[in-house]
Amino acid sequence: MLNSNEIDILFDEVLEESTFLFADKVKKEEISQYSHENFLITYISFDGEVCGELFLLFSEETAHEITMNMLGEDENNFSDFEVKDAVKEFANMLCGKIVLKEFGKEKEFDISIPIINEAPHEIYKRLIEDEKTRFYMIDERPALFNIGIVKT
Amino acid sequence: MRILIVDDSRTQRAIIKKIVKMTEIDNIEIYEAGNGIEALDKIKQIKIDLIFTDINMPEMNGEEMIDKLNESEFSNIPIVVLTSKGSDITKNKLEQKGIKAFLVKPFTPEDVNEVLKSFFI
Repeated sequence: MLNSNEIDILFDEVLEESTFLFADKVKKEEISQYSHENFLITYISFDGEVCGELFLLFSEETAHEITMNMLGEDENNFSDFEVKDAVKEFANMLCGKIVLKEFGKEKEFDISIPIINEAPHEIYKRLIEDEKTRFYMIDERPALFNIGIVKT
Repeated sequence: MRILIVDDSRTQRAIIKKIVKMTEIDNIEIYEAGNGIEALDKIKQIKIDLIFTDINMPEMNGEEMIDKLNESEFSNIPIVVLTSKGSDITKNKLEQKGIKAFLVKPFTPEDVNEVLKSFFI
């Protein structure tokens, strides 16, 4: 299984390669104070010889920044649809990279179409309390990443 | 040269479009489709020289679209598969369907340039 440090490195690699942003690993306590922010939550599942699910939670500001950088645009005047589409694409790439790194090229699996929504605060709180959740700061805004992988 | 980008993600289509326009190949016209059904419609209307396609899409996925193309008069259009999973099984399966080029997301402009050169220069 990938260790904690390897997952952090992969998260940062995909973020940097696709959005030119960087993620700093932080402790849960440092994230708790941001509960008033508006967040978007993305969900993907993967199924096949390996299966599992992934949750990714970004603040709306970070989601806009990701969109801007992925599209190489200077102006941040994207529609909700464009922002959600960019974040879904990021989650899709992250999921593929992590599963590939974890299981190598031999395992066959399907990745679901990502689902993204505004995250109610209860979801934010629940993710914070989940022991699988990893906490990052991206340009001084919190990001939560939770992945559960099951070998089949 | 007419290139068709097939991906349900507008973001990914915009990224490829931008990268393709930056390459050394001149006179590129780019067309877009959000799934296999839309792509097949476009291919019937426009003479496409190269297709970039995602696999995981709603309505009709990339693999189904490739099967339809292989059964049609458009079976000779070269296809580059864009994928976020790099599994050998998927790759082998698609190679058996005639796919010669793959780009694993996130890819760089250099990766796209290399693929384009392999087909057109």
